[in-house]
Amino acid sequence: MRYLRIYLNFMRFAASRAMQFRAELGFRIVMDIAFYAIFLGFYKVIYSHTPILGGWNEQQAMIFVSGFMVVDALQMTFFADMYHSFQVLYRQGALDHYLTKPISSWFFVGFRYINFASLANVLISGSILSWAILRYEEPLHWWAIAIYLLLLLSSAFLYFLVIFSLLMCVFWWENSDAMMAIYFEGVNFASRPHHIFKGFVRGLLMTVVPFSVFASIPAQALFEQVGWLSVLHVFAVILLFLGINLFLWNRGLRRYASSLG
Amino acid sequence: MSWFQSVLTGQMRLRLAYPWGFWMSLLAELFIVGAMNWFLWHAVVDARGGVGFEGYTTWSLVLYTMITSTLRKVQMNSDQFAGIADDIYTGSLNKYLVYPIPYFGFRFAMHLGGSLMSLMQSTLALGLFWVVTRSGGEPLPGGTALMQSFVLVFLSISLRFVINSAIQASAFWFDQIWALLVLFSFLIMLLGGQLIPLSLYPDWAQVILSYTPFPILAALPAEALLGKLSWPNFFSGLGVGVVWTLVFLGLGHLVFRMGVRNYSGIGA
Repeated sequence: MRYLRIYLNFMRFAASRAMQFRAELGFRIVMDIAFYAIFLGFYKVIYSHTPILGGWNEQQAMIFVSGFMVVDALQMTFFADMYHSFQVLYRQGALDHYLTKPISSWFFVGFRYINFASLANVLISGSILSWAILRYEEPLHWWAIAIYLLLLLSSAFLYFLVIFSLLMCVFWWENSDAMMAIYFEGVNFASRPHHIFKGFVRGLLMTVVPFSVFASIPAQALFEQVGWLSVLHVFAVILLFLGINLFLWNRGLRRYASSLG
Repeated sequence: MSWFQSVLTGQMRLRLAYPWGFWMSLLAELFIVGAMNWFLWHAVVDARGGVGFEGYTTWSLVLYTMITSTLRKVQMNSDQFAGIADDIYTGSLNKYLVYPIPYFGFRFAMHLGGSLMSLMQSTLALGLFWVVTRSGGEPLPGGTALMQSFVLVFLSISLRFVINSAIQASAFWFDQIWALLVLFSFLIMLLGGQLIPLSLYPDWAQVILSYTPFPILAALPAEALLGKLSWPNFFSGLGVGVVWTLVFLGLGHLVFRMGVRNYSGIGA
């Protein structure tokens, strides 16, 4: 309860910050609508040339890619600002401030930066997902949809865990820009159905480089009317990365020597 | 114009001083884009019962996306992405306003210097990849393809600069304009054919897009390098590109002049 109360305070401050730049809020919403249009347009063009891609028809692909948009919007809202702030905190020695607080420093650093300006995108991407699910011709049970939404929420958390793990390279290399650049190129794999990948690459994308776990495996769980193996797969990968994250955080803090702060 | 040459060569030397970051991200991008599209287009062709696309082999579709990706890096360097807006926002513009040279010219020289270095390095990486994987069946570009693509690449560098400058000039009124710049990058992906060749788009979309600035920024230089651009299409694309460059050059200057009138000199 204590952590929940602290998190609600983070949200309150984030909301007041977002309202200071109203025009920019509008720009960001338009930008994200264009981002969503890219994916919808991409699959519209692809499916105008083939009825099936990676075993999925156009309706299924639209649900999958809308799910990816929701995951992206959630991580943009609740975590993305931290990606930019963390290296600055480290280099300026400002992590000290977080280490002295009587709560988990990992929680404080990871969850403090909420971007309220992106919350509108959660609504927009959620609306697109609702549209995609409503036009799906096969019957979907409500509990399958509920579990799918839970998986998308969990995937946004996984997205954060993967990036935070890479960001922690800064403890050893003093810089994680290159890792982040590679990550943001690689995350495009997450916007493609995992069945199109074969062999070793597919294995990688479903485990240690878990881009296919972000949206593709949850979509498969939905189309199977709750494929429990897929659900277990998502949570197993989340647990793996949570463990990696906490391990790197504790190891990294031992190396951290406040530089300027 | 000796100042232009000095700024240009200075920027090129600067880029040479720190080449590893660029090479790492270039190679990562080429590998990731290449791998992802190799799987994608094979899956699409398999789903079509092995029937390919007219004018494109599976391999050339992969090459196409690799070319458009590297072109994006050539046109826009990360350190130049929002340089004008940063100058306005932080007040650094002051010093440029008293320089005896035009501000946009100075910025263009910096932009061109960075782009030329990116172009040389990207051409080397892409060329090596093309030579090594020639067994993929895609012939190396001939003289016509090289000439057409280099003309279009230089036009696209200029066009991207003037469009980004016009957008950045709005920083006189807005504190954060990076979202507009990213928005424009997204539009190039979708409307410029960065992800999929425009010839796979519906006919009506191809006609409309041919009058916009977007294909010059992605599809046309890539099609030219793959030897798929006829001379009539080359000249019409070139004409459209030049017109849009002039339009955005005028617009950028107009917005900038209006903004400078309200500029306080202590940051926006």
